[in-house]
Amino acid sequence: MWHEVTKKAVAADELVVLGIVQEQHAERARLYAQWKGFDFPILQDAMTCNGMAVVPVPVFIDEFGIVRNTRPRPNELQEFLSMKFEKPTTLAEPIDPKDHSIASLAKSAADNTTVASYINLGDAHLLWGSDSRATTAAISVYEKAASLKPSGYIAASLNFRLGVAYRARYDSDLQQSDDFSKAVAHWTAALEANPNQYIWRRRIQQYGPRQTKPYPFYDWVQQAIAEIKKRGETPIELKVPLSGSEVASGQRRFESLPSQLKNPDPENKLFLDPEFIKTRLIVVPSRVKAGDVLRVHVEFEPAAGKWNNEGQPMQVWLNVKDRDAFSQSAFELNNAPTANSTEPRHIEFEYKTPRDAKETIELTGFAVYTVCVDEDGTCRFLRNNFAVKVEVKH
Amino acid sequence: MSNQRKLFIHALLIAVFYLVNSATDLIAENVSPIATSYRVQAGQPHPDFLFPDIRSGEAVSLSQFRGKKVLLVHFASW
Repeated sequence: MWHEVTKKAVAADELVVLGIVQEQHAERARLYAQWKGFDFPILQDAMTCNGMAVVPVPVFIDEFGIVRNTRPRPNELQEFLSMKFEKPTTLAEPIDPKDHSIASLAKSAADNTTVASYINLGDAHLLWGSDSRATTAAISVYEKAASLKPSGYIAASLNFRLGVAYRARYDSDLQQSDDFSKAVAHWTAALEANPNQYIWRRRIQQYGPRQTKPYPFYDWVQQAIAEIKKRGETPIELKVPLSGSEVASGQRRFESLPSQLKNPDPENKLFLDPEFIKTRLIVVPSRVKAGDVLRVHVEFEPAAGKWNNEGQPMQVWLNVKDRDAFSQSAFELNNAPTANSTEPRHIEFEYKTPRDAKETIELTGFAVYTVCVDEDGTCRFLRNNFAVKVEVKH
Repeated sequence: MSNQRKLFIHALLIAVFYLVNSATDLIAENVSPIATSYRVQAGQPHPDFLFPDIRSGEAVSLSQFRGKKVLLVHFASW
């Protein structure tokens, strides 16, 4: 909308359009901008450093940096462009990039061990770090800020930032197995402290159950890629693939999908996988009220083995008493097209916690698959048991 | 020492204490305080900011556009 109405003014050099996106993954915003033909500068603020709690928010700013309209409408643009503003007596202090460099802020934090100094340094690592080590550096510094026990919004904001940093590391080559879980735990804590923070809420809903989703977050991606290709362009590549939850539409009523699959190992006879395939479980949100729905992401990553795709497809079975409390409790994953492969695999399911649930619920299940072991080249059909504990609030 | 003089010295010490600590707080806030909300008001300067451009990774600030009228749009692709 704004892009269309401002084109003429931008071309005539009467106006600059500047965007700030509240996104965890910058390349998704790049793809969106490519699809929509946005040609104005777009900046990333993944941590809500500017205190933004809701989007979209347009603001008119005059040539002296003075705010002139905090919620303008497109039909007010011409009036804004035609107005002559006088230079005010007070201008906002311009930022000197040198003062915001990692080196400068590291020195400040060393000289003044305050919450603000550590947060500023952590932000700088995430904003300006040149490689994935910046994520670990940011986590370390944010944890130092947390050790000083801030309170109120600062504490909540610090939790949100830790979530961003852990998720960024999870998406990098330095990924640690519990990074995604820690990200969700910190985002959950941030939102519990400040439930009116709409952007923080959306960050959890992105990965969470359908009952809390207002809409599918990234269902536009496939359409965008198709239309960009049709134009003869190469779509921006998404470094981090979308999870099922990020394209799932909202669903007010909890539904359980019936399955024809049978328990692939009812008598527990299969040999257990000694970690040829590593398993991770992430619960979103990390704490729920009894009766609410949560979403579980189960990830399988080849470690010392490779998937063998020549026989029975991989199956996942949840050990459940009440199948109706699960959106899906049995899964069969398609084999990859090659004989052996090493791609991560994952399933997602939703669980409606009972109203009389105890403080901790344990969800268990197992996967069966054929894995070829690198050491001796043999392929084995193995079972992989998994479990996750869910914290229930009352 | 008279009581009046003692009171004066105490008051002076307290004033110096708060002056020193206020200065320390300003230093502690360092480069920028942590924003607790996006508070902008018509007629007031918009705080400057510095974020990376999603395409180039280059640092971009609001102040580099001084001299031009700006439409700033906070948005998301989701």
